Amino acid sequence: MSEGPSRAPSSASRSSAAFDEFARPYVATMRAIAGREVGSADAEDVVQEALLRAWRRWQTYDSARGSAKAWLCAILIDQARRRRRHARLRTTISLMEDPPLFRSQEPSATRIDIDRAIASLPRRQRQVICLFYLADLPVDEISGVLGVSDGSVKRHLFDARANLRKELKGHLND
Amino acid sequence: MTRPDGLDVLLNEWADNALSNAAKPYAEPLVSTLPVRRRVHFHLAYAAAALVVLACAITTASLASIHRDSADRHTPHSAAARRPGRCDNHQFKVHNSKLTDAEQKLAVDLSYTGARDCTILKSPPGVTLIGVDHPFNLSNANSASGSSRSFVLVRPRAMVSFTIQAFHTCIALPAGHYRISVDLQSSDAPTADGGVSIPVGHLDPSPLLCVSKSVGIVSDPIVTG
Repeated sequence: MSEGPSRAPSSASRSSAAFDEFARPYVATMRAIAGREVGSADAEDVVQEALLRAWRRWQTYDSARGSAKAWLCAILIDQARRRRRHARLRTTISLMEDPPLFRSQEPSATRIDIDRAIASLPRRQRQVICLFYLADLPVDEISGVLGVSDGSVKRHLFDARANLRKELKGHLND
Repeated sequence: MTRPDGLDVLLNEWADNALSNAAKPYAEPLVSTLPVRRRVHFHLAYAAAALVVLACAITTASLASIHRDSADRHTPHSAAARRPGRCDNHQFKVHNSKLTDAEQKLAVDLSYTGARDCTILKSPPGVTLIGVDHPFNLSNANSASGSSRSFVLVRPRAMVSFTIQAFHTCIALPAGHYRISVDLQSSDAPTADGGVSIPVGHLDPSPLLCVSKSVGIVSDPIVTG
């Protein structure tokens, strides 16, 4: 994964602006994944919290250990987990309707069905699908993000694709 | 991975679409001030709550101290009807929750004698020792202030040997409440076998040994039975 500025920061360059340059290419990916992890209502908060954590720990980022995108995704996934746990402890009811997954063009029926099918997957399968297709991470980086083995990632990917194939049979036949 | 099939094409299109929808232009810095501000508010709230709790604790401690001075400190109350381990005396703390029911009851009962603090001293297999700081000058106490005593509670039916420096510094609990059935090894022990036994009622068979804190236990307890 060589896209974007994935260098490790020096202490001199550890400024908000430098972090901006470092993380901005991946924000859309983070938002897209966060939306699928915690729902669109909380996605923005989770991304913000994840970026804040990333910024604070930026000096610990080591590009030799993985891409910046994988590092940010790992923080995001962990932040989403915290959010879910927090939500379990304190149930909240939104005063507004759950907004759509960000501003978008008119969603097609196919996209709605895919979103629904992915949302219905078990969490691990959903995470693997999101990291593989949305973040475009290779299997070895996904395993690092999720803290599981490569084989486990492949199995989840296989199972997820099998489930999606079943759910989206109509669209695949078109 | 295998070559892209229909599902891959579908998912890639979905991903492209999702990413383009999520690519909201950010005018502000990525790390916005909102969470920071929120955190500051949280911290302020926590600090305020901590101050309130601290003020309440100080007030409670002052009131309890005043109350304790005026109360009859030597009147033990039955702990039988109370929940084990629970204590209404706010000054009393049990530092180890891994007590048997009998020990918890005894600890609670001790609290009604005015004990302030209760600490597990040593826990070799089969024996539990609890030290209790006692604010009162019980009979036989020979320390100058008489304000701090240590009771040692032994797990029921354990025979434990101790070496203490001077037996005459042992102090008595309120009469008729506890049994002391411990082998004491001391040159000053008044009995031939060094043992002291005081029959008790509802706390039986918990044996209790009490020694003054200034003397304490100078050897590790040895479980002999």
